[in-house]
Amino acid sequence: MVQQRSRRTDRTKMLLLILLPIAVFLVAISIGRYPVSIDSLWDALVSQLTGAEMDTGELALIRVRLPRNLMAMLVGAALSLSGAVYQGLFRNPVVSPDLLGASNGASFGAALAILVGSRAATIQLSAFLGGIAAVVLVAAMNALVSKRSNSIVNLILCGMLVSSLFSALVSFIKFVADTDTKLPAITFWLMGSLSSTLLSDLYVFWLFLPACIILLLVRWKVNILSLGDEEARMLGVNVRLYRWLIIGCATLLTSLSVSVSGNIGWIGLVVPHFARMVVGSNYGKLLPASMLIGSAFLLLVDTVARMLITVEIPLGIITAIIGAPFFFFLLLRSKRGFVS
Amino acid sequence: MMLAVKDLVCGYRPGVPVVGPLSFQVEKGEVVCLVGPNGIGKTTLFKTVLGLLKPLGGSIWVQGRDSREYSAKEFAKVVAYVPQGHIPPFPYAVRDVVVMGRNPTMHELSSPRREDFEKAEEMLALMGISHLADRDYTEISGGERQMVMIARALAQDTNLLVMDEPTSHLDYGNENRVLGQVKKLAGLGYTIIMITHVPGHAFLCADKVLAVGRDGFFAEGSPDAVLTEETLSTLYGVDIQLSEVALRRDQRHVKVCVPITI
Repeated sequence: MVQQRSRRTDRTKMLLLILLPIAVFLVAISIGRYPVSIDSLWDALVSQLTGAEMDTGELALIRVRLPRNLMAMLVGAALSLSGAVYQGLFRNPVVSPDLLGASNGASFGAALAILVGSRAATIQLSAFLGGIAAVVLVAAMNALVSKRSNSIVNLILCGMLVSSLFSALVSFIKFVADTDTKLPAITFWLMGSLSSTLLSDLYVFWLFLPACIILLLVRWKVNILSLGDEEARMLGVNVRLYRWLIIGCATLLTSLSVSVSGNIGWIGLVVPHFARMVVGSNYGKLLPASMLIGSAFLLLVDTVARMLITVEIPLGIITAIIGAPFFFFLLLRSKRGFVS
Repeated sequence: MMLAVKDLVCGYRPGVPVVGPLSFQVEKGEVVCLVGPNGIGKTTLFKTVLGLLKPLGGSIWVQGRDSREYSAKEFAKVVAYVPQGHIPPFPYAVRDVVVMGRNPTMHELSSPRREDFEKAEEMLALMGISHLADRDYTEISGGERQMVMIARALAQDTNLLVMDEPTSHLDYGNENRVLGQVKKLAGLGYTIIMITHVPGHAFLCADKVLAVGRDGFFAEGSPDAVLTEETLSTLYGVDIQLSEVALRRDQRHVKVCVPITI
């Protein structure tokens, strides 16, 4: 009886969580400099697909607001998903997806491309490759260090080293960059923004998709991995295989996210905790919940970023302003503190 | 034969053996206690037998097959490990912790099904902790956590259970409740190997004792044969006297260790 009832509340919760990003999307798409109704979104979509003539409002909707909103949801879901699996994999609730240097590597890639004056597409590619390169470097260093003892602490330490190395390289590029043109561009890019998202950028969805599917498929195994390497192995899990599969997917998602939206902190750290408050710790439910909440959250933040004042506020600033107090709230609420 | 260890040498680095060479066998249905002082390499030996450390020499045979031939998943189908009940970083429900024991029997990408949860419930009932199923594993007591770890190992459906000091950090009542469960499982035909810090436990529930001591000392045999006053005193470096207590409930006699420290 009790179990039946709890299963029913679980189902209601999941349904509400699925409706959440849809609701935020419907609000976000209709407000802005050109307020539109949901009907005109439909008209605009039909015109886009049939190739019919569009008015300015419809053009703004299809070419600017729609891709931007969709990208916000994509990036929000990807960062939250990566953060949630990393917290389990590294058995640490205060871990975020940039742990192994993906974000700083991608930042370096972008800063370098901006410094040499590349086009937007090249900046994206350079950022993506920078993120992947950083984690590959971490993996190589870890392999050298962990010849005999295959401890996860080694991996985290290598991640910290590479992360701060790339952070220093970004600072160096900023230091030598032209202070009138390049430096502001790099700085603004690093603070995170979706304002320049184009309809054509949405192709990244096809890269996000397989990584998300793989992580969702192995979600129950993350429960076991979070108990530690030895216990997971004794429960029959091929720890090394799953660890690198998960790191690979999370790195792909994080690097892609940074390459299309810049550095947006806090989401990967805070959203999984928010999801835990709603559906509990079991990764079977936690990962889908994190994705849904994360997509709604970043879309909300991006809408605030473009609506609050006349100029765009960088996303990283808003996520930090919301994230830090929320984390403090979690600390107050938690029974035993985070690091016990 | 469940387990056969031949000339096994264990350690963390090649050329630096911690314990061994030693050989022993465990028959199906036996309860075996591993005793010895701190730092002698009991845990190292355990980790090697479990495949977490590579042997520096010798071999380990599980159900007649060289343990090196097992994959992690195959190994978990024949050997279930009961770790000390530590606290994971996230508050999983007890039911979700126990069902993790079903992993070796599940497909790689699937989540536990109804029959896996039924198995988990069954094992919780066997350990007498059904009422904890919906509680957070992080919020229950140390003794209860140990019971949950045993239930999870039972959910693996293996005959061999390997327990790492199942009674450490437990109060006197919980220590003896866990020991009672070990005896109950032995009665159900499980083969159990456990490390214990209390030699008296061996008299209470073991069929066989493995004693590891300094200077390469190793003895294998029945508790009465191995755990003499002399051996115990040498093992732990304190004078120990054995005594027999006649139980009031039935006519059995139980041996107890009395340390003479004054």
